[in-house]
Amino acid sequence: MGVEFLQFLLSGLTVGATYALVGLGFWIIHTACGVINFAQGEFVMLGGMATAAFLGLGMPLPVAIMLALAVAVVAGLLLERLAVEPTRNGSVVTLIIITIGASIFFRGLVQVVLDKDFHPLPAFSGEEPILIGGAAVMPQSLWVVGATAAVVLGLWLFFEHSLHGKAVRAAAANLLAARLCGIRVRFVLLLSFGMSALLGAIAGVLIAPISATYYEVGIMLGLKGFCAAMLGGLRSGWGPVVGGLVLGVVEAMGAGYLASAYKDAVAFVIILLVLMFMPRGLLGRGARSERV
Amino acid sequence: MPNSAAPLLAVAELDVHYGGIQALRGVAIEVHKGELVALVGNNGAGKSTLLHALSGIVEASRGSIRFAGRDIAAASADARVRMGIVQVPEARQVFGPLSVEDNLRLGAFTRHGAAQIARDIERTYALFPVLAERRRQAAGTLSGGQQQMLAIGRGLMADPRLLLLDEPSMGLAPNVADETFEKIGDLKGAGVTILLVEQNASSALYIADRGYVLETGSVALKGSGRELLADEAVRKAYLGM
Ligand SMILES: Nc1ncnc2c1ncn2[C@@H]1O[C@H](COP(=O)(O)OP(=O)(O)OP(=O)(O)O)[C@@H](O)[C@H]1O
Ligand SMILES: [Mg+2]
Repeated sequence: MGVEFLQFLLSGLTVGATYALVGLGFWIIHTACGVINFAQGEFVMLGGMATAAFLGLGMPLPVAIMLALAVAVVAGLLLERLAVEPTRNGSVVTLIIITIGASIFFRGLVQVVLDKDFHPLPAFSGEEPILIGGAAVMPQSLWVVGATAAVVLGLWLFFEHSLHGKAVRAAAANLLAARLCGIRVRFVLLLSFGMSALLGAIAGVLIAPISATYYEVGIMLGLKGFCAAMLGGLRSGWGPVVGGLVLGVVEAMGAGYLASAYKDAVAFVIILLVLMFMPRGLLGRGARSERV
Repeated sequence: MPNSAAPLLAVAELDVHYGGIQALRGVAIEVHKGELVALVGNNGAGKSTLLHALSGIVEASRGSIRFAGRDIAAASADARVRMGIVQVPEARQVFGPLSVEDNLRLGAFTRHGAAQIARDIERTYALFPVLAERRRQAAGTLSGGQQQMLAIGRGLMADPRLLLLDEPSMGLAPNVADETFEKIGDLKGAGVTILLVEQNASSALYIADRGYVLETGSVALKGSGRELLADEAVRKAYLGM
């Protein structure tokens, strides 16, 4: 395995990990209510931009990050309460349009309240590259991959081993039966929007030291996360994880061996191919979740 | 015997509409503590609608629902589960992708006390041994009869004061249906108060203390199980005799 290949692989996995986080955000909300939340990318943007803003106020990085994650979660909860909840009896298409509207709103708000500049965040633990098998890896890449792995583990524990996680899966499997068990629909929706916002914001904070953040960063990252979710399928949480990593690596290889100009095109080509040839994604087969 | 004390459940003048369609009109029923009351009626008579009104899934447009002396019309669906009104819906509706044990555990979602819940899960397994053998299996892979047992077991896990069973025999082979009715009789023997909805009127009335016949949204007849079984009109309309 050439050093060059290894280099591309590692940088692909790093970026792919953030796609996986964004894709998982799509998956959670889709599982809970059958809706693709097109505001998902804006949580990524909010995480990065709010961190930059809090840093600008002189806060230390860990504090700024925690506050930024909290801001994104609040934004997710508000999106659910103010926009999704009141239209719960609307069609899925209505809800999707609402999330598109919300994403435009979030972008506009940040543009007005903060600014339109690029903000590179400082790397969490220095810029000294680490050599792995001859390939140079930024410490931030390890943060990205490590934090993503921790999030995936946490999600797995939550959905497989906690009562509330099982309640969300139960509501997705059979809404009436879940209500008859005393599970509140509103609780399930709030929980999933909050969690999905948190995942997006974590991705935004992790990637900002590598590729800077600005008010429109969520458009492309949201699309990549959507592509990850489509590619891997939304049937289980592993779909977006696998999809994100594959997308990241394919992009990095494409940019390295072909031309970096085509990097972003990879995601669009994949979305088209998936839609045409395997609409349920790599890991998908059967079963659709029910609307909440 | 049962009519001496105040009823556990008292429904009066209940109307329910779905948009412009009236599904229940002026329904009045009572269930006393410890009773097994059967609610029979044809397709579309409004049986499930009545249970959904009791569970807070559909809203009543008129009338009152009193449970244990309290008017519960404004209570949410989860609050009613907490009060002890627990429904086992028609067509079973287990959580297919989740394990048998998770289904049971979710039945106790509103309860506290891990130790007591764990004991109740074991009690449910003792009542339905077939579930114990399959506790790790996805509920969706069970047979129809087993899923019905699981759905009833999940309902029992909520520790009901009033168990609402919606057509538990539907879609089951006759011998499995008989076994289900036997289990329901056992539950009554164990002191569970039950409102049993059935299209299989003879089996339901046979094990019931009392019964109501629902016809196009209103109560057409009521009486003891035995009286209704002997009633000429009931025999013609529901027992095919
Ligand atoms: N969600 C709904 N929206 C509109 N109409 C409904 C709805 N649910 C039930 N209905 C109508 O209300 C009436 C009563 O239905 P319900 O399901 O309560 O009958 P049922 O006695 O339970 O019948 P079955 O034996 O088939 O289960 C029927 O005419 C039915 O078409
Ligand atoms: Mg019915």
